[in-house]
Amino acid sequence: MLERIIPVFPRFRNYTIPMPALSRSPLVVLVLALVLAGPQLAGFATQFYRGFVPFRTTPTRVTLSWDMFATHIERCGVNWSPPLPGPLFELRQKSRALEWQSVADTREHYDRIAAWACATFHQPNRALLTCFLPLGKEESHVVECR
Amino acid sequence: MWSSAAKWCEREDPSLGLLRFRFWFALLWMSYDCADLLFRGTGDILWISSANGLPLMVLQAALIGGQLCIAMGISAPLACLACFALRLAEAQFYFGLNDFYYYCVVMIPLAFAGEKRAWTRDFLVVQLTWIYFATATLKLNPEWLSGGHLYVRQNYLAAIQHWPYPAWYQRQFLSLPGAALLARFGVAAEFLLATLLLTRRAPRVATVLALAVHGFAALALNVWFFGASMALGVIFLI
Repeated sequence: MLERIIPVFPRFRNYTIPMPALSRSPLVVLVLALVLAGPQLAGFATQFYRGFVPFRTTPTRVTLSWDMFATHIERCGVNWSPPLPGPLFELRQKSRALEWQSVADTREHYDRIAAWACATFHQPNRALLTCFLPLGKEESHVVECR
Repeated sequence: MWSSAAKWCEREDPSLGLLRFRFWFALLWMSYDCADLLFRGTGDILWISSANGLPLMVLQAALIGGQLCIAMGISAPLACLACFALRLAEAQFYFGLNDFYYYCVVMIPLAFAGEKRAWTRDFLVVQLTWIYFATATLKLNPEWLSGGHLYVRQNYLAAIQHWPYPAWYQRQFLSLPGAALLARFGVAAEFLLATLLLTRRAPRVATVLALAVHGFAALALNVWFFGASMALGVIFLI
């Protein structure tokens, strides 16, 4: 497929930066290697500097340390009663079924979202939060908005 | 040493793996941005921060254009560098997702993919190896190994997002011990993938392993695009 597509646009391929010369230069390649490796190694080292010890502590979010699925998380469902204008019954309504979800990583953050929504819409109501915790527990609490 | 480095920089990569990877990588992320723009995926999440969504939509439209150029081979090096800058802006100003940073570190070497130099492929393989190694190492923590992290994600998806887990899966793997089993398999698979990529041995095993790890993340954790774009690297570059 690729071989068939590329030759269709040969004249556009001329309007480009001179990559052939750049790609042969060891200096350019060295600079690229440093640009790519430096921030990633620094990110990984920062995890240890901030207290990550394998098998003992949990890492925190550090850009370019590749901490996906490795950090502490808590997830909550938020239900407003009465619903917010929209009507918005629950935070889930702001998520898509696939990939894009309105989520935070701590209960405190969810509390802030619940309270922020109440304040934004100037509507007295209450938000019920159902949270899942990494200790294998589920807990519910209420954020009152007045 | 400098002369051997110069020889390495000159060496050509006769295979089409690099170009195929660039094509599918661009196509995958173009579909991500199209779906994001069309269904207001990130746009609706912005509701929480009440940020202005218009600049994000402009960014996404520019990314779609850039990725179309990359897939079609139209000024692909320039398009790669532009997409790198645009995605970095999206990560910096909107969501600092690992997905977006992975895209950025891949786009820089991809700007040189058209020249079919062996070092470009080496860069991307080392990059993938490092990501699998680093993420597996950081998962060696009590919360991941106890299954706590997966427990939270899966139970949230099941109870709040009504994710359609099969009944047998819910019985076996939504509990803490079941999630711990999955978590340990996951971290072992990532270390194994890093090793296979580093040694460039058993490409079929690496491909199956990558599809298993990222297929699980998609089907059980609702993470589709990041995993797919990493799996593309394993499939085309090893």
